[in-house]
Amino acid sequence: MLQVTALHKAYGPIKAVEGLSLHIAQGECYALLGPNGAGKTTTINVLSGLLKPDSGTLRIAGLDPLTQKRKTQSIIGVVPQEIALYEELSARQNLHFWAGLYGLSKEELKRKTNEALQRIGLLDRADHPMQSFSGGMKRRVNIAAAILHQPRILFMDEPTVGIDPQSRYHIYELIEELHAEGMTILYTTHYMEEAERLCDRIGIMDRGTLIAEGSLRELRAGVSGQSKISVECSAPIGQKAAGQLSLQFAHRIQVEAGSLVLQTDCIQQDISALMQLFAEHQLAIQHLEVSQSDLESVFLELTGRELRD
Amino acid sequence: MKGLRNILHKDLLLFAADKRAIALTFLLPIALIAIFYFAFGGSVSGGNNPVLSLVLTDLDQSTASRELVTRLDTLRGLRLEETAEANSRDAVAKGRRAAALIIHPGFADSLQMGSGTALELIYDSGRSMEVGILAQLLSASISPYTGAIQGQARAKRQMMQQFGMDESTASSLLAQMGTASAEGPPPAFRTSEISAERNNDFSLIQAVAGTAVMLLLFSVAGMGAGLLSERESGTLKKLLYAPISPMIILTGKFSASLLIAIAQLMLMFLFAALAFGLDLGRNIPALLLMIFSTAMVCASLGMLLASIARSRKQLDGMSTMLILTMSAIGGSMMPVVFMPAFLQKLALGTVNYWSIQGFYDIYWRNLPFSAVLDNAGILLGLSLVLMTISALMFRRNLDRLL
Repeated sequence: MLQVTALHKAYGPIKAVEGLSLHIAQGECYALLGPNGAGKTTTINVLSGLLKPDSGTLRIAGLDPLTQKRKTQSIIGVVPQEIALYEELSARQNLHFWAGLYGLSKEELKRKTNEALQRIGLLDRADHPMQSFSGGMKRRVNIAAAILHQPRILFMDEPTVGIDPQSRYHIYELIEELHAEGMTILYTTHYMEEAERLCDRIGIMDRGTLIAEGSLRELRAGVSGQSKISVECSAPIGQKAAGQLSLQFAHRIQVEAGSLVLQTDCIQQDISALMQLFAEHQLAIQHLEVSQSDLESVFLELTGRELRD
Repeated sequence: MKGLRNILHKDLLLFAADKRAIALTFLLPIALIAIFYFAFGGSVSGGNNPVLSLVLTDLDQSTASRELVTRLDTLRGLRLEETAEANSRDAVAKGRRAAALIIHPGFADSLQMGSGTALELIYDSGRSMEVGILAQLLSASISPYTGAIQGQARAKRQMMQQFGMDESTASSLLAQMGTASAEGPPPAFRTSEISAERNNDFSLIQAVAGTAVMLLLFSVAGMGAGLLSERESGTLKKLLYAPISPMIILTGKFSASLLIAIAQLMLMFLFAALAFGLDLGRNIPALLLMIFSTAMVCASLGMLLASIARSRKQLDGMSTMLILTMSAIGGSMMPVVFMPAFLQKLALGTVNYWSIQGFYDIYWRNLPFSAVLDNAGILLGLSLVLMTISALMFRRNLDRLL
């Protein structure tokens, strides 16, 4: 559905996107994850025809956005980072206006607006002005405005910025519904949990470059020792037991703040081994905690920086 | 076209939803028209020594008439233009000059006969302040001259008739006496108003036309600012994601501004008719043409300002300065005729001038439809130029707008 090859875009001396290549299949939800300034929004602006790339080739559903701009724009939907709605108009008037730009007939507009309002749970507030809506409600209308014309691919540029967790949850559900219906989605975010929860594949972008790409499992597997098992014992570990632990887990085990911390790639297997060893030495486990590696640690390992930097 | 219609419809909805904008667009102008009407009505007095223009036709071509022309030509504060009678009358009729002095045939003889002078001042009563100053200036210069000749002629006649002197003796005696004893009654020139029929009040037309154009400029500058608001709120960027040309966005906003501007002007003239009795129906086609061309040029200026300005603050400052300057020079705040000559020349470069003069032509000078074609043509031409520059600037600055 979307094919980008060697995309370059610079603003004067600043290279916003450098050699980006990605492929998104029909019906796939793909996350572009990266900190602010990574080049995510520039990528969306280029793909949606707002900016001309310096070089690279683009194909969206077989169309070239550079030479077939209007045609391409008619099959894409964009949810911008800003809540780009007219505050003085009602939700219905906003949706009518935005969908009207895509050439929908009067009847279609009426029907689809009602469907969209129903879908985002705002049918009862349809005729209220936007300025009376909460941030989360506005975000939902913002998304509805981008999907009324039934685009073949939806670009969502950080669509949950600045809203409360409950509203965010509503939006996740909406995106999951769209994904389940087969819509192709390119989703940019700097929230790990969004990428993990919503997307089939994740591309990690930093300083204009795609530095890693794959499913969450593949990305985790690509970095070493990300998961940790922490064990707190009720009594001090004897020398014999300590020796056996060192022998069995070598450099993967260490003592941190009175707890044994084991770095692992295979959680279940290592927990079994630990339990058996503790039983042999009649050690009682007071507390056991498993922390799985996440995208944060993947990003940290890949860039040497935290994602929020 | 559907995109254009959508944007136009949306902008009209946004305007309708903004109660403050409606009040500023329609109620403020009405209030100001009333204020300016009363202000102009009560202020037709005094002057500040402006340079006045007078067209003159000498049909007598005698020594006395040529001497009078020479005297007038040396007057400070008066710019004299000598031309044929038809041109003089036309200049006043079409509002190019406030008054014309016609020296009729027999002027010299009338002085010798001591009868009323064959001088006629034709004037535009709509420019009563200017004409009043002019009449005073002319009187002060003409009276001593014609009075002296008439007095001498009267005295000579008396000497010859009552004392039996011959003409050369009487002339010689008068020459010795000088002009001291030759004071005659001040000769008045005949005055006549050039337009045959006046149905409207000059101050009302000045108030309506002047205020209407000035406030319309402010309104459309505010509407043009809508483009910057769209940029700030992110809706402009979202519009550019849609499959429509950026020019459709600009044209849509321009069309909304144009429609509101036309409504605003119509309401102002309607108010003047209902509240102050402006004879609105005098020349409806000409009025509609002037309203349309004025709205076009004002809306274009609003678009240009919005395309140039980088921020709302910049736009506010720029538009306030430009509009107030144009209004002051162009005749919105006071009639152009009271201004110094160099400002009157500068006025030609303002939207206000061409528009206000067009409305004068319709309602004061009672000129036919063809008379406003020049003004409307200039306004529409200017509109085209402004819109072209706006389009180029908008396209050029598109990246910056995102």
